[in-house]
Amino acid sequence: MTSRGQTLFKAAEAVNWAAAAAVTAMMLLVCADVTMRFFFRSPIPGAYDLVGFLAMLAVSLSLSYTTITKSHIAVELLVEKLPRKVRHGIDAINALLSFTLFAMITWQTALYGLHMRTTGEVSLTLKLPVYPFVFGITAGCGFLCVILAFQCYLSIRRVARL
Amino acid sequence: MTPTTVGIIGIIALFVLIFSRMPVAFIMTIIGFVGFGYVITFNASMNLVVKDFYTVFGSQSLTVVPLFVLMGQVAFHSGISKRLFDAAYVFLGNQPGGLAMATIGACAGFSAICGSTNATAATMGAVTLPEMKRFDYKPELATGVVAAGGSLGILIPPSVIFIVYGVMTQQSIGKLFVAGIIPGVLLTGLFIVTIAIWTRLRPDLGPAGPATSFREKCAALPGIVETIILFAMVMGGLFAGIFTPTEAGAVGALGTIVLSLIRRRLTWKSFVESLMETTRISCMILLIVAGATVFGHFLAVTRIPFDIATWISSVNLPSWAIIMLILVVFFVGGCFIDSLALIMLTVPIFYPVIILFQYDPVWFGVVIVLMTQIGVITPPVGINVYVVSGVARDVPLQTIFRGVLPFLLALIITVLLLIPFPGIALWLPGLM
Repeated sequence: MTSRGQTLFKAAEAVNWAAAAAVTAMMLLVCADVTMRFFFRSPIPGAYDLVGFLAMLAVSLSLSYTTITKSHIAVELLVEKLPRKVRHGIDAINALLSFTLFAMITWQTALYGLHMRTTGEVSLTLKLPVYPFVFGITAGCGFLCVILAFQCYLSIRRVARL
Repeated sequence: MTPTTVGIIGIIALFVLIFSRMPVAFIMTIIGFVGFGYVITFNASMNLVVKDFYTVFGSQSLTVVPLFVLMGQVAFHSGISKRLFDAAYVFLGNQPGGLAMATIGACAGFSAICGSTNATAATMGAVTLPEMKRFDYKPELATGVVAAGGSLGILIPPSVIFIVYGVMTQQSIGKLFVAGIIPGVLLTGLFIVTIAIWTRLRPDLGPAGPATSFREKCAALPGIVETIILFAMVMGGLFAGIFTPTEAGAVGALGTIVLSLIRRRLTWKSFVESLMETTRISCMILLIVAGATVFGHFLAVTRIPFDIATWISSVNLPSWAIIMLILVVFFVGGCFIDSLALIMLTVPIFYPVIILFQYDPVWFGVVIVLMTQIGVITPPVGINVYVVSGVARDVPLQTIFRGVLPFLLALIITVLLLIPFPGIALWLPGLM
């Protein structure tokens, strides 16, 4: 991998640390809630809201790491039998299409988040504002776009070199 | 073009593009987006994608996914599998094929704390394959048994497939989990019988090991205690209605961490590794659910699922024939497409049919899981076989695929038993 590729990988890993922290927090929060309910008959108010938000952050922030480690389900069966040049060509098109999709999602979630900020939408019990978590998805998808753009560039360069 | 035509083009495009090795989750989203935009408007379609992603990522019912994945990952990294195998070995090792039977027993045990097939196959493979090699087991039996046994991971609860199916069809995840228990025990038994028959026919496959004393048997028992505690806590809590699935997952994950810490089996490094894996796997699962949701909404506006359901009911086939047709689609599809992706693609189409013919949705969930188990071991795309070949690098893929064949038979028998006797799956959840 090139040095730029390594930097991106390190960055994706670092962002994934935040996702990992969110999962840990989810686990601890739910366990604390169960304990409080079971032994003291007083569940933690808003635990339910928070768990959903933490899950949202966990998934969004690990999008890049999941993509850069090639962990998504994909059918390799056919493409891996093709000549190398065609393979890289297909990868470039795939990355470009994926980039377009996630650029659209980044843009639209940003609009959605802004909309929620103006309308002042809050969560059910804690009355936490919802929009920062929507911006969490925007951030995760935005970073994913950077990675997809880089993967597209790499595949095009490979085609050109062959 | 009528919406139905657009829908059919969408489905065809999906099955063609899937072979471009673009992530299946992305393809489903793109086709869903374009199709929905074409039928309604592109503005509505952009809203749809954003709402679906937002809803799935923050879905309360899907918060169970990372928690149960974490539980399995910690169990994977902390040596529970080795102790399960040692315990099963002292009881079964002196039989012909006994090590293979012990592997199945340990797989079933590990499945009770882990919800995925590949994690179960990978962890059991690492533990049991060297042992079977040491006792001169033929590679086809040794690798086949791990690939097939690993598939129990999704039948015996917890199970990622049950969670995803439950969310898609709005069925109780707790009931689905409990419905997997008896079929899981039945299949474990059938796998062991398969080994017994196969090694009787070909004794060279797995020679009997030395007998163990009563004292050794007693000494090995503590090895399964932690698994029993965790399973009892998680499933007992769910069954009794004390925990929601999310709570069961959180308690299970923390419980596994605490027990591993007490045994001094969990290092900081392996904990971090478990977490990184957990986020990676959960993100993969949730993204494919989000993609399937977008695609499902597109299909819904084309009315294709309803058209198919009405059409099937009009051709006057008996209901068992409909089920057989669906099973054939799953079988053939499972050979080429990853099983999780296949479920996501087909459930929106088949589920209305199942409901129309008044089959129980929980029962259908169990059938789908069994078909998935078949899918993960059949060539050319059998993820468990690839996982096992990653552990046993000296064994050619064909050998492993040959080794899973007898177990495939046991799986098919279980599916066929479930059709006339749905009670195998439905009796236990009926008590809840």
